[in-house]
Amino acid sequence: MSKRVSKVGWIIMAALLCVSLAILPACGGGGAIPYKNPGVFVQQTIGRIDSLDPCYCYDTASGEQIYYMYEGLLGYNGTSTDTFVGLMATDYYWVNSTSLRFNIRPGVRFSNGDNMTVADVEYSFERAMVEDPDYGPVWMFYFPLLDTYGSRNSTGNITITSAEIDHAVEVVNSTCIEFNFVRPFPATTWYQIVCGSWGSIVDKAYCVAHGDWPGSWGNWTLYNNPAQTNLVLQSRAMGTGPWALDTWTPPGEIKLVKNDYYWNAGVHAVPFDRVLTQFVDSWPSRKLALLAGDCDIAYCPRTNIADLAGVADVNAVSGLPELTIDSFYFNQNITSTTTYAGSKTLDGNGISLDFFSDINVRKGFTYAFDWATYIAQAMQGEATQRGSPFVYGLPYFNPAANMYSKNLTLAKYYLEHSAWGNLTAIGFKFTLIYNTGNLVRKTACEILANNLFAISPNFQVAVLAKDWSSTMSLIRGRTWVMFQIGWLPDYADPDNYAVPYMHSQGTFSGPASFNNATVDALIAEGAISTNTTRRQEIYYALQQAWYDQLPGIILAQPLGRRFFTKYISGFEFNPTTCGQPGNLYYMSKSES
Amino acid sequence: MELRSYIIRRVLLLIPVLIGVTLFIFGITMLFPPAQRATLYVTNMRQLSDLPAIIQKYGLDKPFFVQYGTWLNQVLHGNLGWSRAISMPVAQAIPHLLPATLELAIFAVPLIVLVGIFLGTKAATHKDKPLDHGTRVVAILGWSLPSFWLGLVLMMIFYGYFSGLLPPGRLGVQMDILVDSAAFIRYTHINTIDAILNLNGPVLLDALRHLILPVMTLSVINMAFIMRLMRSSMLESLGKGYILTARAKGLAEKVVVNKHARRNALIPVITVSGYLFAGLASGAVITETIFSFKGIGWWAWQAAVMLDIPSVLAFALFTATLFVVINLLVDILYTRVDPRVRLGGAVQ
Repeated sequence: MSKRVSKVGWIIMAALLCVSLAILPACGGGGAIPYKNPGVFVQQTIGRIDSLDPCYCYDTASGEQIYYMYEGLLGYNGTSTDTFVGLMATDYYWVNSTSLRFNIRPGVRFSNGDNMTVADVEYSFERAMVEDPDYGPVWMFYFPLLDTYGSRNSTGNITITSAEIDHAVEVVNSTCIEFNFVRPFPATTWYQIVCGSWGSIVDKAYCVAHGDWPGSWGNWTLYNNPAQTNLVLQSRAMGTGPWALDTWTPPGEIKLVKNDYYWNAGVHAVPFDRVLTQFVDSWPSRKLALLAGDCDIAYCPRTNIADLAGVADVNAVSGLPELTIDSFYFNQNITSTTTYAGSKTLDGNGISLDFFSDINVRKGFTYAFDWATYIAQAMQGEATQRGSPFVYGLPYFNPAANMYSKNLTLAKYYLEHSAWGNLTAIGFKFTLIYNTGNLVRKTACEILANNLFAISPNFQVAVLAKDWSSTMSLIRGRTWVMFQIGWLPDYADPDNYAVPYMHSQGTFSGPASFNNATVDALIAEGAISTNTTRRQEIYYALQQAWYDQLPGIILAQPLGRRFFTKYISGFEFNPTTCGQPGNLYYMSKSES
Repeated sequence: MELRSYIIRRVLLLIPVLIGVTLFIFGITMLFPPAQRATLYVTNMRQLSDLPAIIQKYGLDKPFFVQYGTWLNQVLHGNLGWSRAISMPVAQAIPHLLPATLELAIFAVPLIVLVGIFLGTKAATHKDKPLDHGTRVVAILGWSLPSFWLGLVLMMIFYGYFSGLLPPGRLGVQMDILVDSAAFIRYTHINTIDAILNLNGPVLLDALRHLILPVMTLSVINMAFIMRLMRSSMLESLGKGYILTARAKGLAEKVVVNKHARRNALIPVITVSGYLFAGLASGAVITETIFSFKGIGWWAWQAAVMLDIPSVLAFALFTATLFVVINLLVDILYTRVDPRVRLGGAVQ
C-alpha cells in the first residue's frame, strides 16, 4: 500500500514539475506594465534600516533614507565624486590653511516649518561629536578636526574636552560657520565627508524638545555614546530635505511625504508626493511587483539580471561603475587554531601558517587566477579588472597601473621557486571559504582552485561555504587561509581604500598581517597632504606597491545595473550615493 | 473551583518551562564563539576591527551562567533587550509583528480545520470510493508540496500571469497610505479587523486580496494532515459498538455520523488544531518571507540568521508561552467535546 502511495506521490510531483515548467516561463513579463500610483515613487529592495539618526547610521539602507530627508552643507555635483554644489551652504572658502568657512543658505526651513539657522548647523556637527556612538561614522569628523578617532579611549573613558569640540565648529556670525582643523587637511576630502549622511543638518529645537543634547556643555558627557534605544533620532527625522518621514514600519517599509517647505521647490518642484521603500527579501516577489507596476524600481541580484533582459517596459540602465571592489586577501600569519590549513605544515597535506609570507607564493597564486572567466561567469560580463584597490572613479586612479593576468606558466614558475622549495613537488592542501549564498565569490574560489590543480595535482584546494557571521569572525580571528572580501567606501577618496587594504592596522591588511613601513608612511602622508600633485604621487606609488607587494588578488570593479519601469526618468548615477535610485529629487514619473 | 486550580497549576508550570526553554536556547547560542556572536553588532566592514571591543562591551566572553544571569536580570526588570533584526526594542517587536502573523493564522486555521474536518469525514464515510480516493490525492498533494514552491507558483500565476490580481504584501500602495493616515484608526493592526471597525470597504477588500495567496499556501499544506487525521479518527469511531447501536436504533445516517461518530472523532483533531494554531501564530517563516507578510516567523528567522540572541530568546519565550496557553485551551475544549473528560483527572 505504502509503495503504491509513494508511486502516486512521485507521479503527482512529476506532473506538477511539468506543469510548472510549462507555466512559469509564461508568467510575468508577458504584458505591458501598467502605470500605477501616480505621484508615488515605490522602490522594492533588500536589507533593512538600522537607524535614522545621522550620527549613528553607518549602513547604506539607512543612509539612503537620510539622504531623502536631510541635506548637508554640500552635495555631490551630479555624477561627479569630487566637485560639489551648495545645499545648506551657499558658498565656502578657506580663511587660512586650517579654517574653513561656510556661508549658510538663507530661507531654508525644516519639514516642520522651523527656520534653519547657523545654530542648527553648529549643533548638528557638535551633536554628532558629543554623542559619537560606538562603531559609528563620527570618526570622520574627529580625525581632521581633533586628530583622534573618537571621543573615548579603548576603555571607554572620554578623552576630549567640551572646549575642543566647541572650538572645532564655531559660529562666526548669523550666516557663517567655521570649521577649525587641527592641521591642514585635504579640502576635497572634507567636502566629501560633509556630503555623507553623517553631515546632515538636524533641527536643534526639535532634537532638544525630544530630550536630545541641549547644546550646552554642563553635562555633555551624559549624552556621549547613547544606546541605540535612546537615540532621539533613531526612528524620528527632522531635516530640510525634499521629503519628510511619514511612517517607518520595521521591517517592511518606510514612507516619506513631500516636504512642503522644501527650499528649492520654487526652482525645481519635488517630483513625488510620496516615496515608499519596501524591503522585500524574495527576488521573484520583487520582479513580479516591477512587472505588475507595483514598484518603480526593484533590486535585482547580479545572478538574476537575465530575468529582466528584453522585457519591453523595463528600462535597464547598465554599465555603472561602482566604487566597490572584491578581492582575495592572503593571510600571511594564520592563527595556529585554524582548521582550514590542513596539517598546518607544508607536507603535502597542508600549508605552513606563514605560507603566504613568501612573495613568490603570492605571485604564483595571482598568476593562477583567471579574470576573464571570473568577469564572464561570476559577474555576467559586467565588471572591469583592476590592479589595486584604487578603483576607477576615485581621484588619483592610475588608468595605466600595472595589472596581473592569468599565466599558468608563470604561476608554475613562481610556485616552483618559492622560499619553501618547489611547491609542485611538495604539494599543499587548504580550504578556501566564501560566505554562503554568494555565488560570485564561490565562482572566484572555484576558478582559483581549478587553475592551481591544473598546474599540479598536488595543489589541493577545497572550497567551503560559511555563513556571514562566521566569515567575519574568522577574518578577525586570522584563522582564514585566504579571505575574499569587498569594500564600500565612506567617501570617494583613495585614503578610504588605502587604510583598510594596505595599512598595517587596516581593516583587512591588519588581520592578514600585511605590514610595510614604507606603505604605512605613504598612507599617513596621503591622508593629510593638501598638495594635489604630491597626493597623486603618493597614490600612484601605492598602486605600484600593491602590484609589487601583492597583499592580495584584486578581482574586478563591478558595473552596476538599475531596473526601472519605463515611466521613470531622470536617473543619474553617482557612485557615492546610497541606494538604488540615486538622487530622487531629479527623477520623475509619468505615463507619457 | 476545579477548573480554576487546574488553570493556576498550568500557569505556574509555565515558569519552569520558560526557564528550561531559554536555558536550552541560550546554551545553543553559546556554542558559537564570542567573535561570531559579536558580528551581530557590525553594520559596516570598517567595524570588523571593533570585534574585540564589542566582545568586551557586551560581555560575550563571560561564562555561560554569568551571561544568562545578566539576560535574566534584564528580563525581570522588564528589559528584553534590543532586536538588531528589526532595529527596535524586543518588547516592542513582538506586538509590532504579531498582528501580521495573527491575521494569517486567523484566516488560515479555521479554513484548514473546517475544510479538513469536512473532507476527512466525507472520506471516512465514503471509504474506498471515488471521493475517498480524491481526498487522498489532495492529501498527498498537500504533503508533497514544499511551501516555498507552492507559494512561488501561486504568486507567479495569480500575481504574474494574471497581472497584479493577487499581490503579495499586506496592502497595496494606496490603501497602505490610507491606513497610516489620520483618517484610519489602527485598533488592532490586523488590517481586516481594523477595516471592519473603521467601516472601510476598500481597505477590507484590499487586505483580503492580499491574504488569499498566503492563506491558500498555508491551507493546502496543513489541510492534508487534518483531513487524514479526521478520516482515520472517523473510521475508528464508525467501527465502535455505540455506532452499531445507534444504527440499530434506526437513527438517520446523518445523525449517526454528525452527532455520534464525528463528535468523538474530533478529540485528536482538536489537539492537532491547537498546535497548528500555535504553530502558525508563532510564525510561518517561508510563507511570510515569500509573500512579504513580515511577522513573527520572519523575525525569528532573521534573528536566527543574525545570531540576534535577545530576539531568539524572546521568540522562544513567546512560543513556549503560546504553546502552554493553547494546550490549556485545548484541554478545556476537551471537556466541551467529551463530557467524560474531567480536568485534573482521567477520562471517566
